[in-house]
Amino acid sequence: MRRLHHPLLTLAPALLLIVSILPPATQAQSPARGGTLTVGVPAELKTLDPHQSALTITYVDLSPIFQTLVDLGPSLELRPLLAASWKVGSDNLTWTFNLRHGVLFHNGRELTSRDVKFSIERILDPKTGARGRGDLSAVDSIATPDPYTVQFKLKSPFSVFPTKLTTTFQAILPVEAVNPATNELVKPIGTGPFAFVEWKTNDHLTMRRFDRYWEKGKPYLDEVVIKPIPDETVRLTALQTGDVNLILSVPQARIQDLFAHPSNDYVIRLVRGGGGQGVVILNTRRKPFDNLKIRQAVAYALNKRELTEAAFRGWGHPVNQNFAPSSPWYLKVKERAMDLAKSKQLLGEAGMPNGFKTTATVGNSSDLLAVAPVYQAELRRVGIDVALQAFDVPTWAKRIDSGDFDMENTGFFAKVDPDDGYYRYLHSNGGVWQLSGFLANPTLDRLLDDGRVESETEKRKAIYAKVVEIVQEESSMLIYGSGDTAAGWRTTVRGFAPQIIGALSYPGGGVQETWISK
Amino acid sequence: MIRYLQARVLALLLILVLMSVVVFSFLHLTPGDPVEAMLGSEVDQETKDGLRHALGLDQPLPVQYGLWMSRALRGDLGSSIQMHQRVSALLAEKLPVTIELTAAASVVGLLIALPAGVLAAVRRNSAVDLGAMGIALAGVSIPSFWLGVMLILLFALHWRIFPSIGYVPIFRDPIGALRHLVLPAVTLGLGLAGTLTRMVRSGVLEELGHEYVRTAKAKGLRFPTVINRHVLRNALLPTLTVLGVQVSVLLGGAVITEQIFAWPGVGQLAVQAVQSRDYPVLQGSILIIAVLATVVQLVVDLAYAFMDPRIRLS
Repeated sequence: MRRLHHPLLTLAPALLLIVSILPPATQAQSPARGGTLTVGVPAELKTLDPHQSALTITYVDLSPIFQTLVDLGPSLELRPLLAASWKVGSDNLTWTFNLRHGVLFHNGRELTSRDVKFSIERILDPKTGARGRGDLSAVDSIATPDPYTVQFKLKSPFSVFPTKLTTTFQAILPVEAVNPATNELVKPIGTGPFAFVEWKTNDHLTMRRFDRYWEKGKPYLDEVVIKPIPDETVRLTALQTGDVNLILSVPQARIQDLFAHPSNDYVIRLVRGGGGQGVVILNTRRKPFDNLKIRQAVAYALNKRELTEAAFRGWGHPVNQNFAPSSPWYLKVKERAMDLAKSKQLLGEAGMPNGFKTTATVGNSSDLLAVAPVYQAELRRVGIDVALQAFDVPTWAKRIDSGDFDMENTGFFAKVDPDDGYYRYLHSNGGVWQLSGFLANPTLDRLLDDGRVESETEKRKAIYAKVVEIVQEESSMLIYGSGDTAAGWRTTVRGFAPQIIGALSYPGGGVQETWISK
Repeated sequence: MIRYLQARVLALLLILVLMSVVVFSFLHLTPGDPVEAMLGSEVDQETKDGLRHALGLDQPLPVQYGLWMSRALRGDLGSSIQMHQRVSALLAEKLPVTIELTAAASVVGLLIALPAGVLAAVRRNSAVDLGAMGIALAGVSIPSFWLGVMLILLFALHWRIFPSIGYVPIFRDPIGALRHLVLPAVTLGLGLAGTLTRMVRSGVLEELGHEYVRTAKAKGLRFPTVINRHVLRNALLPTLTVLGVQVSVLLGGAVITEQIFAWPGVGQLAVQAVQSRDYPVLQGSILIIAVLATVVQLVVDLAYAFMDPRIRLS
């Protein structure tokens, strides 16, 4: 069972869009109205509060209900959503967002700057426990000069600030949706194309078309019903039998076969980079990984192709950075090839010619467990004896958080911007420094700060290429591969294009564009 | 009889209190907490501590337990930490689903086990016996995650007789509900049938050796009547005990079948509560499952007295 809601796969869910094989040639047919889209998803929704969860499924399921100021288009360009436009002031600190006029919440009230200020401040309040809080840590204060203008004052210049407002974790809620005394979401109301109807845990989430949605004439569907189907074989079967119209996370092991035997009833589309990146982490605070030569010896002994194969069941590409080869932020940095002789030589230079014993702390989910025995076997070839210790996911997360591990493996979610991809792991103030094994390198801190201030793309590329080089050299955060996923839908479903992380609603291809042909 | 019931209810209360202490301490001894489960590894410590404080998870354990217990005694099982729903409402929603599935599986199990077990005993060591025992062994050994998927592939995908997944409330659409019920009930029921067939067979075999069977035959009763009226009634006592235990297990543990068929039952709720360390939900689920299991045992005991007049409950 593949878990889409793996906690570590939830980082900065970027709205990268898939640019895979194009959708089937759509006949010149105008969208039909009506119908129900039933979607099979791999995980169960845990809460209706878009702020208070770090699970990918929160984002996937709730995106038709809640919207954000900014969204991302197919080539990762920022797209206006609730904000019609934005600009940064001459001080490089004041960002002004102009809200779209006439946007209504599902209770019929118009969206104003007060709701934006309220929502962002709710995210920033540590008591909310918002997943998006870390992304917005640069915000110093929020002003609302008029009902359609919001001004964010930042603590320091941040050229890619709008990218931090693009996920459902930064959703804009109406003030009245939250109980002021308890901070609890009492009504799941947003500005999205579909309004909440009913949620039965482990069974279904139902939403109905919001007739006064701000994109004129949309959506086309009457209803969207989301059903959690954790077993991947059963999820695929439900698509094949027509019990659902659309599924996310087609079992990777079956993709080859499905492409080889196309059906008239349904289509399968690859989502390039949708699986995020796989990584092995060595804790630089623990012996012997405090020794650079030992870390490099490990790096040289790993076979990225094998690890990628295990992690993504054949649908991956070895990489040396936190972006898929299909991303515009995939940078040219020379790959370090596997070299067992070099590995042994480094072990010798570090005074451990016969290798050593260590322990890997592994999360008990099938995708993480699939990778651990592979590096265990690979490292044995140079005499490094890795004992695997598996823990259930919350226990494992706690251990990694507190730095209580020698080595571990995890997954990073697909990223929008290199600041997302590197800052939080590699900067000593990043927030989740443990995921680079607490790699202390002052040059990295400086480069990552520069990357935030710099706004020219080419200069940023040069900065982050250096970051990737250093990360590869330091060998504590060993990113080995990037993976693809796939989505499938009945041929009667039109206008849908899967997004890299599977959000169901986004401008230009989500459920607001989807219709069902008769 | 009344005194017997009183004693049982008292025992039940004691068990529930003890269990709540055990569950509470085990849960809190396990590393990782709801905040860890909600926010994962990639959120900074300050945000996590803020949420912990807001949820009251930074209070001493005895205080947390005392708060929960005092509310539970007033009939308030609290709210889910993650889902923000009343635990009682969640259970009211999931329990009928689980009971429906368990009842249907028991019917399937008995429908197979009774004839198969009796036939196997009566035709001992024949091909019928071997066949029945083979099926029983298969029923016990085949894991439900495999059987469930196979049934879906055959009956839903290949022959298109039954829907692949989903639960339909029986009062909303009785026919749809039955169609959705068949595959999960068979998946669960076959495993149950395996255990029960062997019990029925050995029970009947044992009774067949008794003198009263010879007497019954001697007074000219037809063999099927002997089996139905005399043998089965005695042979079924141990089967009933096993059925009671199995039903209790199913009430709390049909998780895999529930997951495969996307049935929103108590088992799934409880397992997810463990994974997300949602203490109130887990404690509520365990409490309710324990109550149900005890009730089932009570029914079994009462049925004993009904089936065997020599047994008196006091």
